[in-house]
Amino acid sequence: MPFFASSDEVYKYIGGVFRAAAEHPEVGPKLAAANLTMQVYYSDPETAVTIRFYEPKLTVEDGGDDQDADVKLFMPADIADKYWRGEYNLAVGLAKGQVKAKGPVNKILKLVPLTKPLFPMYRELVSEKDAAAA
Amino acid sequence: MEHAIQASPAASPADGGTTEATVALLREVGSPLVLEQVELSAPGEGEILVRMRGVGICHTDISAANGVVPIPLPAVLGHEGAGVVEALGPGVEGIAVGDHVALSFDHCRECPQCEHGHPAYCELFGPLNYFGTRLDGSVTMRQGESEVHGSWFGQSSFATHAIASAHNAVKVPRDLPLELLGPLGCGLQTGAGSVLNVLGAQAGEGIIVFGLGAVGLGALMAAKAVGCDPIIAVDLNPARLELATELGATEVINPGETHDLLWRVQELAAPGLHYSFDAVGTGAVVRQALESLRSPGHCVTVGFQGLEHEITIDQGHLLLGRRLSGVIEGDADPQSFIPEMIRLHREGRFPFDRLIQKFPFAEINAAIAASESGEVIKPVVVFD
Repeated sequence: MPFFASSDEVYKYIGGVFRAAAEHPEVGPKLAAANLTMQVYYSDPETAVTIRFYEPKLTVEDGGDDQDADVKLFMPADIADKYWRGEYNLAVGLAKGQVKAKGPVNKILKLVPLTKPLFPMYRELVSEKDAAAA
Repeated sequence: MEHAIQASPAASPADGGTTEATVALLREVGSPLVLEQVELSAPGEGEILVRMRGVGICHTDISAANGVVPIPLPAVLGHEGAGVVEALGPGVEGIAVGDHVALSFDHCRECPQCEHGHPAYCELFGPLNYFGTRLDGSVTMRQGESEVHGSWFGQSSFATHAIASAHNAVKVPRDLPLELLGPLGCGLQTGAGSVLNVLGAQAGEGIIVFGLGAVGLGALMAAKAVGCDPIIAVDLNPARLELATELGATEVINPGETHDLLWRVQELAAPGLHYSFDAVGTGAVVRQALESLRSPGHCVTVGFQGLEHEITIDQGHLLLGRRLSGVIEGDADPQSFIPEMIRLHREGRFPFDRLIQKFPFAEINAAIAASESGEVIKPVVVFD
Protein backbone atom coordinates (compact mmCIF):
# COMPACT_ATOMS: atom_id res chain seq x y z
CA MET A 1 0.00 0.00 0.00
CA PRO A 2 1.48 3.38 -0.97
CA PHE A 3 2.54 5.64 1.89
CA PHE A 4 0.70 8.67 0.49
CA ALA A 5 -3.05 8.21 0.03
CA SER A 6 -3.63 11.21 -2.23
CA SER A 7 -2.10 14.06 -4.19
CA ASP A 8 -2.93 16.33 -1.28
CA GLU A 9 -0.73 14.26 1.00
CA VAL A 10 2.13 14.49 -1.49
CA TYR A 11 1.67 18.26 -1.61
CA LYS A 12 1.50 18.45 2.19
CA TYR A 13 4.57 16.35 2.95
CA ILE A 14 6.84 16.39 -0.15
CA GLY A 15 5.81 19.85 -1.24
CA GLY A 16 5.98 20.75 2.42
CA VAL A 17 9.59 19.73 2.86
CA PHE A 18 10.60 21.81 -0.15
CA ARG A 19 8.71 24.78 1.34
CA ALA A 20 10.54 24.16 4.62
CA ALA A 21 13.81 24.08 2.68
CA ALA A 22 13.00 27.49 1.21
CA GLU A 23 12.75 28.92 4.71
CA HIS A 24 15.81 27.11 6.12
CA PRO A 25 18.46 29.75 6.89
CA GLU A 26 21.39 27.60 5.79
CA VAL A 27 19.94 25.36 3.10
CA GLY A 28 17.43 27.73 1.50
CA PRO A 29 19.88 30.21 -0.06
CA LYS A 30 22.11 27.43 -1.39
CA LEU A 31 19.19 25.68 -3.10
CA ALA A 32 17.89 28.96 -4.49
CA ALA A 33 21.26 29.55 -6.12
CA ALA A 34 20.85 26.45 -8.34
CA ASN A 35 19.08 28.56 -10.96
CA LEU A 36 16.94 25.83 -12.52
CA THR A 37 13.41 24.47 -12.65
CA MET A 38 12.77 20.87 -11.61
CA GLN A 39 9.59 19.07 -12.54
CA VAL A 40 8.86 15.94 -10.53
CA TYR A 41 6.18 13.48 -11.60
CA TYR A 42 5.06 10.88 -9.06
CA SER A 43 3.17 7.62 -9.28
CA ASP A 44 1.11 5.98 -6.51
CA PRO A 45 -0.51 8.43 -6.26
CA GLU A 46 -0.17 9.98 -9.71
CA THR A 47 0.65 13.62 -9.15
CA ALA A 48 3.28 16.26 -9.80
CA VAL A 49 5.18 19.10 -8.17
CA THR A 50 7.25 21.84 -9.79
CA ILE A 51 10.15 23.31 -7.82
CA ARG A 52 11.75 26.48 -9.10
CA PHE A 53 15.23 26.96 -7.64
CA TYR A 54 15.82 30.68 -8.18
CA GLU A 55 16.91 33.52 -5.95
CA PRO A 56 15.80 35.03 -3.71
CA LYS A 57 13.85 31.93 -2.62
CA LEU A 58 12.85 28.62 -4.18
CA THR A 59 9.14 28.21 -4.88
CA VAL A 60 6.94 25.13 -4.96
CA GLU A 61 3.92 24.65 -7.24
CA ASP A 62 1.76 21.76 -6.08
CA GLY A 63 0.32 19.97 -9.10
CA GLY A 64 2.56 21.96 -11.44
CA ASP A 65 3.42 20.59 -14.88
CA ASP A 66 6.22 22.62 -16.47
CA GLN A 67 7.00 20.64 -19.59
CA ASP A 68 9.98 22.87 -20.36
CA ALA A 69 11.61 22.36 -16.97
CA ASP A 70 15.41 22.07 -17.00
CA VAL A 71 15.28 18.76 -15.15
CA LYS A 72 12.43 16.25 -15.12
CA LEU A 73 12.24 13.38 -12.65
CA PHE A 74 9.75 10.54 -12.39
CA MET A 75 9.51 8.32 -9.34
CA PRO A 76 6.99 6.45 -7.19
CA ALA A 77 5.95 8.73 -4.34
CA ASP A 78 7.14 6.05 -1.92
CA ILE A 79 10.70 6.65 -3.16
CA ALA A 80 10.33 10.37 -2.46
CA ASP A 81 9.21 9.47 1.06
CA LYS A 82 12.21 7.20 1.58
CA TYR A 83 14.58 9.83 0.16
CA TRP A 84 13.42 12.53 2.54
CA ARG A 85 13.69 10.14 5.47
CA GLY A 86 17.37 9.71 4.50
CA GLU A 87 16.81 6.08 3.55
CA TYR A 88 17.24 6.24 -0.24
CA ASN A 89 20.34 6.79 -2.36
CA LEU A 90 19.10 8.90 -5.28
CA ALA A 91 22.25 8.23 -7.32
CA VAL A 92 21.61 4.49 -7.06
CA GLY A 93 17.94 4.98 -7.99
CA LEU A 94 18.95 6.92 -11.09
CA ALA A 95 21.57 4.34 -12.03
CA LYS A 96 19.09 1.49 -11.72
CA GLY A 97 16.25 3.33 -13.47
CA GLN A 98 13.97 3.34 -10.40
CA VAL A 99 14.05 7.10 -10.78
CA LYS A 100 13.79 8.32 -14.37
CA ALA A 101 15.44 11.58 -15.30
CA LYS A 102 15.92 13.96 -18.18
CA GLY A 103 18.18 16.99 -18.27
CA PRO A 104 21.36 17.92 -16.42
CA VAL A 105 20.84 15.53 -13.53
CA ASN A 106 24.34 16.34 -12.32
CA LYS A 107 22.97 19.68 -11.16
CA ILE A 108 20.35 17.91 -9.07
CA LEU A 109 22.88 15.48 -7.61
CA LYS A 110 24.93 18.49 -6.52
CA LEU A 111 21.93 19.62 -4.47
CA VAL A 112 21.49 16.25 -2.76
CA PRO A 113 24.12 16.78 -0.03
CA LEU A 114 22.47 20.11 0.82
CA THR A 115 19.20 18.37 1.66
CA LYS A 116 20.66 16.26 4.47
CA PRO A 117 19.85 18.76 7.26
CA LEU A 118 16.21 18.60 6.12
CA PHE A 119 15.79 14.90 6.78
CA PRO A 120 14.99 15.34 10.51
CA MET A 121 12.47 18.06 9.58
CA TYR A 122 10.75 15.70 7.16
CA ARG A 123 10.67 12.87 9.68
CA GLU A 124 9.06 15.27 12.13
CA LEU A 125 6.59 16.34 9.44
CA VAL A 126 5.44 12.78 8.73
CA SER A 127 5.61 11.55 12.33
CA GLU A 128 1.88 12.11 12.91
CA LYS A 129 1.07 10.17 9.75
CA ASP A 130 3.49 7.41 10.81
CA ALA A 131 1.78 7.27 14.21
CA ALA A 132 -1.66 7.08 12.60
CA ALA A 133 -0.48 4.25 10.34
CA ALA A 134 1.05 2.28 13.22
CA MET B 1 50.34 24.59 11.31
CA GLU B 2 52.38 21.44 11.72
CA HIS B 3 50.55 18.17 11.55
CA ALA B 4 51.92 14.92 12.79
CA ILE B 5 51.33 12.43 10.01
CA GLN B 6 50.40 9.24 11.67
CA ALA B 7 48.07 6.33 11.68
CA SER B 8 47.49 4.47 14.87
CA PRO B 9 44.86 1.80 15.33
CA ALA B 10 42.68 2.82 18.27
CA ALA B 11 41.52 -0.77 18.41
CA SER B 12 41.88 -3.69 16.07
CA PRO B 13 39.85 -2.86 12.95
CA ALA B 14 39.03 -6.56 12.70
CA ASP B 15 37.37 -6.26 16.10
CA GLY B 16 35.20 -3.41 14.91
CA GLY B 17 37.48 -0.67 16.23
CA THR B 18 38.33 2.52 14.44
CA THR B 19 41.66 3.59 12.98
CA GLU B 20 43.03 7.09 13.27
CA ALA B 21 44.52 8.41 10.08
CA THR B 22 45.83 11.65 8.66
CA VAL B 23 43.96 12.71 5.56
CA ALA B 24 44.25 15.55 3.08
CA LEU B 25 40.82 17.07 3.57
CA LEU B 26 38.92 19.16 1.04
CA ARG B 27 36.76 21.48 3.14
CA GLU B 28 35.69 23.97 0.47
CA VAL B 29 35.64 23.87 -3.30
CA GLY B 30 38.75 25.46 -4.72
CA SER B 31 40.63 25.64 -1.42
CA PRO B 32 43.92 23.87 -0.64
CA LEU B 33 43.76 20.47 1.01
CA VAL B 34 44.39 20.47 4.75
CA LEU B 35 46.04 17.66 6.68
CA GLU B 36 43.75 16.62 9.51
CA GLN B 37 43.06 13.60 11.69
CA VAL B 38 39.99 11.43 11.14
CA GLU B 39 38.66 8.18 12.54
CA LEU B 40 38.22 5.48 9.92
CA SER B 41 35.45 2.99 10.56
CA ALA B 42 36.31 -0.68 10.72
CA PRO B 43 36.15 -2.20 7.22
CA GLY B 44 32.60 -3.21 6.44
CA GLU B 45 31.25 -6.02 4.28
CA GLY B 46 33.51 -6.39 1.24
CA GLU B 47 35.94 -3.71 2.40
CA ILE B 48 39.61 -3.68 3.36
CA LEU B 49 41.79 -1.34 5.37
CA VAL B 50 44.88 -0.28 3.41
CA ARG B 51 47.95 1.50 4.74
CA MET B 52 48.94 3.77 1.87
CA ARG B 53 52.44 3.78 0.46
CA GLY B 54 51.78 6.09 -2.47
CA VAL B 55 48.96 7.82 -4.33
CA GLY B 56 49.01 9.53 -7.69
CA ILE B 57 47.50 12.94 -8.39
CA CYS B 58 44.96 12.65 -11.21
CA HIS B 59 43.11 15.29 -13.22
CA THR B 60 39.82 13.92 -11.87
CA ASP B 61 40.91 14.68 -8.29
CA ILE B 62 41.69 18.24 -9.33
CA SER B 63 38.34 18.56 -11.15
CA ALA B 64 36.51 17.36 -8.05
CA ALA B 65 38.46 19.76 -5.82
CA ASN B 66 37.30 22.54 -8.15
CA GLY B 67 33.64 21.53 -7.84
CA VAL B 68 33.11 19.82 -11.19
CA VAL B 69 31.98 16.55 -9.56
CA PRO B 70 29.16 16.66 -6.99
CA ILE B 71 31.00 15.06 -4.06
CA PRO B 72 29.69 16.35 -0.71
CA LEU B 73 32.16 18.13 1.55
CA PRO B 74 34.22 17.78 3.59
CA ALA B 75 35.71 14.98 1.56
CA VAL B 76 38.90 13.05 1.00
CA LEU B 77 39.89 12.60 -2.64
CA GLY B 78 42.65 10.41 -4.10
CA HIS B 79 42.01 7.46 -6.36
CA GLU B 80 45.37 6.14 -7.51
CA GLY B 81 46.38 4.56 -4.22
CA ALA B 82 48.73 1.68 -3.55
CA GLY B 83 49.52 0.17 -0.20
CA VAL B 84 49.54 -2.75 2.17
CA VAL B 85 46.39 -4.49 3.38
CA GLU B 86 46.07 -4.18 7.17
CA ALA B 87 42.61 -5.58 7.88
CA LEU B 88 39.75 -7.32 6.11
CA GLY B 89 36.03 -6.75 6.48
CA PRO B 90 33.50 -9.60 6.46
CA GLY B 91 33.11 -11.51 3.23
CA VAL B 92 36.43 -10.52 1.66
CA GLU B 93 38.02 -13.34 -0.32
CA GLY B 94 41.24 -13.60 -2.29
CA ILE B 95 43.06 -10.89 -0.36
CA ALA B 96 45.07 -11.35 2.82
CA VAL B 97 46.51 -9.03 5.44
CA GLY B 98 49.98 -8.02 4.28
CA ASP B 99 49.18 -8.20 0.57
CA HIS B 100 50.49 -5.38 -1.60
CA VAL B 101 47.64 -3.88 -3.60
CA ALA B 102 47.05 -1.22 -6.23
CA LEU B 103 43.62 0.38 -6.01
CA SER B 104 41.49 1.23 -9.01
CA PHE B 105 37.79 2.08 -9.42
CA ASP B 106 34.93 0.41 -7.59
CA HIS B 107 32.31 -1.68 -9.37
CA CYS B 108 29.53 -4.03 -8.31
CA ARG B 109 30.61 -7.23 -10.13
CA GLU B 110 26.93 -8.18 -10.46
CA CYS B 111 25.42 -6.04 -13.23
CA PRO B 112 25.51 -7.14 -16.89
CA GLN B 113 28.43 -4.83 -17.73
CA CYS B 114 30.54 -6.17 -14.85
CA GLU B 115 29.64 -9.75 -15.73
CA HIS B 116 30.68 -9.19 -19.34
CA GLY B 117 34.10 -7.77 -18.51
CA HIS B 118 33.31 -4.06 -18.70
CA PRO B 119 33.35 -2.94 -15.06
CA ALA B 120 34.18 0.64 -16.04
CA TYR B 121 30.59 0.83 -17.25
CA CYS B 122 29.14 -0.76 -14.11
CA GLU B 123 25.58 0.47 -13.70
CA LEU B 124 26.52 1.63 -10.22
CA PHE B 125 29.76 3.31 -11.29
CA GLY B 126 28.53 6.77 -10.29
CA PRO B 127 27.17 5.93 -6.84
CA LEU B 128 30.14 3.69 -6.04
CA ASN B 129 32.83 6.15 -7.08
CA TYR B 130 31.67 9.77 -7.00
CA PHE B 131 29.28 10.57 -4.20
CA GLY B 132 31.25 10.27 -1.00
CA THR B 133 29.38 7.49 0.76
CA ARG B 134 28.83 3.76 0.67
CA LEU B 135 25.71 2.67 -1.22
CA ASP B 136 23.75 2.63 2.04
CA GLY B 137 24.62 6.28 2.60
CA SER B 138 27.05 5.69 5.47
CA VAL B 139 30.50 7.26 5.53
CA THR B 140 33.85 5.58 6.11
CA MET B 141 35.32 8.50 8.08
CA ARG B 142 34.35 10.79 10.94
CA GLN B 143 35.76 13.61 13.00
CA GLY B 144 33.91 13.16 16.27
CA GLU B 145 30.22 13.52 15.44
CA SER B 146 30.89 15.05 12.02
CA GLU B 147 30.81 12.99 8.86
CA VAL B 148 33.77 13.08 6.48
CA HIS B 149 32.99 11.88 2.98
CA GLY B 150 35.17 9.17 1.52
CA SER B 151 34.56 6.23 -0.81
CA TRP B 152 35.94 8.37 -3.67
CA PHE B 153 36.56 5.72 -6.33
CA GLY B 154 36.05 3.24 -3.54
CA GLN B 155 39.20 4.40 -1.73
CA SER B 156 39.77 8.12 -0.88
CA SER B 157 43.48 7.52 -0.73
CA PHE B 158 44.85 11.00 -0.01
CA ALA B 159 45.35 9.51 3.42
CA THR B 160 47.73 7.46 5.50
CA HIS B 161 45.05 4.77 5.73
CA ALA B 162 41.94 4.18 3.63
CA ILE B 163 38.89 1.99 3.69
CA ALA B 164 38.76 0.52 0.20
CA SER B 165 36.43 -1.77 -1.66
CA ALA B 166 37.98 -5.21 -2.01
CA HIS B 167 36.63 -5.35 -5.59
CA ASN B 168 38.86 -2.42 -6.23
CA ALA B 169 42.11 -3.92 -4.93
CA VAL B 170 44.50 -5.69 -7.27
CA LYS B 171 47.28 -7.72 -5.73
CA VAL B 172 50.70 -6.72 -7.07
CA PRO B 173 54.11 -8.42 -6.75
CA ARG B 174 56.11 -7.53 -3.66
CA ASP B 175 59.36 -6.94 -5.52
CA LEU B 176 58.03 -3.84 -7.25
CA PRO B 177 58.23 -0.30 -5.75
CA LEU B 178 54.73 -0.29 -4.29
CA GLU B 179 54.56 3.47 -3.81
CA LEU B 180 54.76 3.97 -7.59
CA LEU B 181 52.03 1.54 -8.64
CA GLY B 182 48.90 3.58 -7.82
CA PRO B 183 48.72 5.39 -11.18
CA LEU B 184 48.29 2.00 -12.87
CA GLY B 185 44.79 2.03 -11.37
CA CYS B 186 43.50 5.06 -13.26
CA GLY B 187 45.54 7.37 -15.49
CA LEU B 188 47.85 4.81 -17.06
CA GLN B 189 45.05 2.27 -17.32
CA THR B 190 42.89 4.85 -19.10
CA GLY B 191 45.52 5.52 -21.74
CA ALA B 192 46.89 2.04 -22.24
CA GLY B 193 43.48 0.38 -21.94
CA SER B 194 42.00 2.62 -24.61
CA VAL B 195 44.70 1.59 -27.06
CA LEU B 196 44.76 -2.11 -26.21
CA ASN B 197 41.14 -2.82 -25.23
CA VAL B 198 39.07 -0.33 -27.21
CA LEU B 199 41.09 0.51 -30.32
CA GLY B 200 42.73 -2.91 -30.45
CA ALA B 201 45.76 -1.35 -32.12
CA GLN B 202 48.10 -3.73 -33.95
CA ALA B 203 51.67 -3.64 -35.19
CA GLY B 204 52.06 -1.47 -38.28
CA GLU B 205 48.93 0.58 -37.70
CA GLY B 206 49.17 4.33 -37.21
CA ILE B 207 47.98 6.36 -34.24
CA ILE B 208 48.01 10.01 -33.23
CA VAL B 209 47.88 10.98 -29.54
CA PHE B 210 46.64 14.43 -28.47
CA GLY B 211 47.68 15.56 -24.97
CA LEU B 212 50.80 14.12 -23.39
CA GLY B 213 49.98 13.87 -19.72
CA ALA B 214 50.11 10.52 -17.95
CA VAL B 215 46.99 9.36 -19.81
CA GLY B 216 48.25 10.32 -23.25
CA LEU B 217 51.73 8.97 -22.59
CA GLY B 218 50.15 5.76 -21.24
CA ALA B 219 48.39 5.46 -24.61
CA LEU B 220 51.61 6.22 -26.45
CA MET B 221 53.62 3.62 -24.52
CA ALA B 222 50.96 1.00 -25.16
CA ALA B 223 50.92 1.86 -28.87
CA LYS B 224 54.70 1.50 -28.97
CA ALA B 225 54.49 -1.78 -27.04
CA VAL B 226 52.28 -3.35 -29.71
CA GLY B 227 54.34 -1.96 -32.58
CA CYS B 228 52.16 0.84 -33.93
CA ASP B 229 53.83 2.87 -36.67
CA PRO B 230 53.66 5.79 -37.17
CA ILE B 231 53.00 7.16 -33.67
CA ILE B 232 52.37 10.90 -33.80
CA ALA B 233 52.39 12.81 -30.50
CA VAL B 234 50.75 16.25 -30.13
CA ASP B 235 51.27 18.69 -27.26
CA LEU B 236 52.06 22.36 -26.67
CA ASN B 237 54.81 21.54 -24.15
CA PRO B 238 58.21 20.98 -25.84
CA ALA B 239 59.51 18.93 -22.90
CA ARG B 240 56.56 16.54 -23.24
CA LEU B 241 57.24 16.19 -26.98
CA GLU B 242 60.87 15.36 -26.24
CA LEU B 243 59.86 12.71 -23.72
CA ALA B 244 57.27 11.34 -26.16
CA THR B 245 60.04 10.83 -28.69
CA GLU B 246 62.11 8.95 -26.12
CA LEU B 247 59.09 6.77 -25.31
CA GLY B 248 58.41 5.83 -28.91
CA ALA B 249 56.75 8.64 -30.86
CA THR B 250 57.92 8.56 -34.46
CA GLU B 251 56.77 12.15 -35.11
CA VAL B 252 55.80 15.04 -32.84
CA ILE B 253 53.68 18.11 -33.52
CA ASN B 254 53.55 21.28 -31.44
CA PRO B 255 50.25 22.95 -32.40
CA GLY B 256 51.61 26.25 -31.12
CA GLU B 257 54.30 26.12 -33.80
CA THR B 258 52.25 24.53 -36.58
CA HIS B 259 50.03 26.66 -38.82
CA ASP B 260 47.81 23.82 -40.05
CA LEU B 261 47.91 20.75 -37.84
CA LEU B 262 45.70 18.58 -40.02
CA TRP B 263 47.76 19.38 -43.10
CA ARG B 264 50.89 18.38 -41.16
CA VAL B 265 49.19 15.08 -40.29
CA GLN B 266 48.51 14.49 -43.97
CA GLU B 267 52.15 15.27 -44.79
CA LEU B 268 53.27 12.71 -42.22
CA ALA B 269 50.66 9.99 -42.64
CA ALA B 270 48.36 10.37 -45.66
CA PRO B 271 45.52 9.40 -45.95
CA GLY B 272 45.34 9.64 -42.14
CA LEU B 273 45.80 7.40 -39.12
CA HIS B 274 44.00 4.19 -38.24
CA TYR B 275 43.50 5.51 -34.73
CA SER B 276 43.45 8.72 -32.77
CA PHE B 277 43.42 9.28 -29.03
CA ASP B 278 42.25 12.49 -27.37
CA ALA B 279 43.29 13.13 -23.78
CA VAL B 280 42.28 16.81 -23.87
CA GLY B 281 38.54 16.85 -24.50
CA THR B 282 38.11 20.35 -25.90
CA GLY B 283 35.90 20.68 -28.95
CA ALA B 284 38.77 21.77 -31.18
CA VAL B 285 40.98 18.85 -30.19
CA VAL B 286 38.25 16.21 -30.47
CA ARG B 287 37.52 17.51 -33.96
CA GLN B 288 41.19 17.43 -34.92
CA ALA B 289 41.49 13.91 -33.54
CA LEU B 290 38.54 12.79 -35.64
CA GLU B 291 39.76 14.53 -38.76
CA SER B 292 43.19 12.93 -38.43
CA LEU B 293 41.62 9.55 -39.17
CA ARG B 294 41.71 7.63 -42.42
CA SER B 295 38.59 5.75 -43.48
CA PRO B 296 37.69 3.63 -41.67
CA GLY B 297 39.24 4.78 -38.42
CA HIS B 298 38.52 4.97 -34.74
CA CYS B 299 38.95 7.90 -32.36
CA VAL B 300 38.80 7.55 -28.60
CA THR B 301 38.15 10.61 -26.45
CA VAL B 302 38.92 10.46 -22.73
CA GLY B 303 39.63 14.11 -21.86
CA PHE B 304 37.29 15.40 -19.14
CA GLN B 305 36.01 18.95 -19.50
CA GLY B 306 32.87 18.66 -17.38
CA LEU B 307 29.81 16.45 -17.09
CA GLU B 308 27.95 18.69 -19.52
CA HIS B 309 30.21 19.58 -22.41
CA GLU B 310 28.89 20.21 -25.90
CA ILE B 311 31.14 20.06 -28.94
CA THR B 312 30.59 20.21 -32.68
CA ILE B 313 31.83 17.55 -35.08
CA ASP B 314 31.41 16.98 -38.82
CA GLN B 315 28.89 14.16 -39.19
CA GLY B 316 29.66 13.90 -42.90
CA HIS B 317 33.28 13.09 -42.05
CA LEU B 318 32.10 10.50 -39.54
CA LEU B 319 29.83 8.75 -42.06
CA LEU B 320 32.66 7.15 -43.99
CA GLY B 321 33.29 4.44 -41.45
CA ARG B 322 34.86 6.58 -38.79
CA ARG B 323 34.02 6.03 -35.14
CA LEU B 324 34.15 8.27 -32.08
CA SER B 325 34.10 6.49 -28.72
CA GLY B 326 33.99 7.97 -25.24
CA VAL B 327 35.97 5.82 -22.84
CA ILE B 328 36.62 5.79 -19.13
CA GLU B 329 39.23 3.74 -17.32
CA GLY B 330 40.38 2.27 -20.64
CA ASP B 331 37.33 -0.04 -20.57
CA ALA B 332 39.64 -2.25 -18.51
CA ASP B 333 39.04 -4.85 -15.86
CA PRO B 334 41.76 -3.81 -13.40
CA GLN B 335 42.11 -7.37 -12.07
CA SER B 336 43.59 -8.47 -15.38
CA PHE B 337 44.80 -5.20 -16.88
CA ILE B 338 47.02 -3.98 -14.04
CA PRO B 339 48.97 -7.28 -14.14
CA GLU B 340 49.21 -6.86 -17.94
CA MET B 341 50.73 -3.37 -17.54
CA ILE B 342 53.13 -4.75 -14.92
CA ARG B 343 54.17 -7.51 -17.34
CA LEU B 344 54.89 -4.93 -20.05
CA HIS B 345 56.78 -2.83 -17.50
CA ARG B 346 58.98 -5.77 -16.52
CA GLU B 347 59.76 -6.31 -20.21
CA GLY B 348 60.84 -2.68 -20.46
CA ARG B 349 57.93 -1.83 -22.78
CA PHE B 350 55.86 0.29 -20.40
CA PRO B 351 58.31 2.52 -18.50
CA PHE B 352 55.65 4.44 -16.59
CA ASP B 353 58.07 5.21 -13.77
CA ARG B 354 59.67 7.79 -16.07
CA LEU B 355 56.54 9.94 -15.75
CA ILE B 356 56.56 10.02 -11.95
CA GLN B 357 57.97 12.50 -9.46
CA LYS B 358 57.53 11.78 -5.77
CA PHE B 359 56.32 14.29 -3.16
CA PRO B 360 56.02 13.80 0.61
CA PHE B 361 52.43 13.69 1.89
CA ALA B 362 52.89 16.98 3.71
CA GLU B 363 53.51 18.61 0.31
CA ILE B 364 50.37 17.31 -1.39
CA ASN B 365 49.24 20.79 -2.42
CA ALA B 366 52.60 21.34 -4.12
CA ALA B 367 52.10 18.01 -5.91
CA ILE B 368 48.70 19.17 -7.15
CA ALA B 369 50.15 22.51 -8.25
CA ALA B 370 52.93 20.71 -10.12
CA SER B 371 50.32 18.66 -11.97
CA GLU B 372 48.20 21.68 -12.82
CA SER B 373 51.14 23.70 -14.09
CA GLY B 374 52.38 20.82 -16.20
CA GLU B 375 55.73 20.89 -14.42
CA VAL B 376 55.34 17.25 -13.40
CA ILE B 377 53.55 14.64 -15.52
CA LYS B 378 52.49 12.32 -12.71
CA PRO B 379 53.09 13.52 -9.15
CA VAL B 380 52.87 10.69 -6.65
CA VAL B 381 52.49 11.46 -2.96
CA VAL B 382 54.39 9.00 -0.80
CA PHE B 383 54.03 8.07 2.85
CA ASP B 384 56.69 7.16 5.40
